[in-house]
Amino acid sequence: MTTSFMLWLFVVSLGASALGGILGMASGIFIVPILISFGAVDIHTAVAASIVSVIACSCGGAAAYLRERLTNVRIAIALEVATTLGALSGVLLFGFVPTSWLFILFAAILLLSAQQMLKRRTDGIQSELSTPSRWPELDASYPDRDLGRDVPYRVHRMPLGMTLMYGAGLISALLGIGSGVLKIPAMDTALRLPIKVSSATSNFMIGVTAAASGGAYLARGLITPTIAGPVALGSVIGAALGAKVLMRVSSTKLRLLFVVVLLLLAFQMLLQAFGVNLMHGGA
Amino acid sequence: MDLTTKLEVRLARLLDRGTWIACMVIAAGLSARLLGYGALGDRVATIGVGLIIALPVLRVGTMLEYFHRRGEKRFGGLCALVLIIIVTSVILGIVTRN
Repeated sequence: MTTSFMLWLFVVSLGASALGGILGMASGIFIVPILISFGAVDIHTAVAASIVSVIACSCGGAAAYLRERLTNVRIAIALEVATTLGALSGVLLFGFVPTSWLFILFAAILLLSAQQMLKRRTDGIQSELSTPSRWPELDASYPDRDLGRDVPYRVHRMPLGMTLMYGAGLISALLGIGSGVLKIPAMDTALRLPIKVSSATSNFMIGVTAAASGGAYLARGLITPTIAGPVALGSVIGAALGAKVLMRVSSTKLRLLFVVVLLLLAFQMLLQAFGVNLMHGGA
Repeated sequence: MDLTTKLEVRLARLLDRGTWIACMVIAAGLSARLLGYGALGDRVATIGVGLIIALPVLRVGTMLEYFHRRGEKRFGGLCALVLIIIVTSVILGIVTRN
């Protein structure tokens, strides 16, 4: 491993994570295709390296949300049973799933992310709080700065949420991503959580989900410290920078740029499924 | 400060400090490698990566201790179940190592 390659890994991860952070996206979805397409890194090594950066970014970003009381730790631990089970299934499948299938799955997730990025998220319809709750221990409230008071919310359709979370954990382990693309619809649409709560709780859960697969990949010897190390460092610093810029930048144009990048990466992943790498002239 | 907020503050401190400590260990390992101490540097960087992976596990452990102390058996049980799943996954990784 050359010094210049390690530096390249650090810079690319920092850039992807900072730009992802501006849009509130995890960087794994960019890092894996970039490592494969531009760094000629094997998909399994790229996934294992990315999962480490996913954990680091989740842990680094979770503190602010926790202090602001936006994270619902009880919902998180309940859903983590499903996400870690999904990750365990992913660990079982990783290595057996043909590489071409992984590329196709990655392309599908990139396309789904592009679609979600174009669509504006809105708060789900909350049911009447005076009616009895099915999961009273999970219901809570969050501080809304605009309203200047705590806003109560209720949890809906946990079984559907758990099912979607199992899928999110599976995809996370197979592709080395945080799976926000699946977690966010699960929390917004199935559980009908307020956006701020679902974003904070999803970010909080990503680390534990990824730790289930990351621990297995480390034990399996798939994590190369000279690749995972610079990627994790760059991602953490990039995410911190991106979060600071998030408040000050109008992201409409950047959002469109990212949609284009996601589409290009999806196209490259599809080509890769058929053994074509435009950057390196072959698979 | 209510008890749940106390837990949130504890978790925030653990995750915040833990991430930066792990990153500093990785940086130290990579720096050692660049200075010519390849094997030592790789070992230190691997420890840093291990610390990052261990951090969410420590977070679940902290939550388990909190719920257990508060007598919230259902949530304590969920924490224990998550820890068991993670440990099973790591064992699976060891068993399937080439």
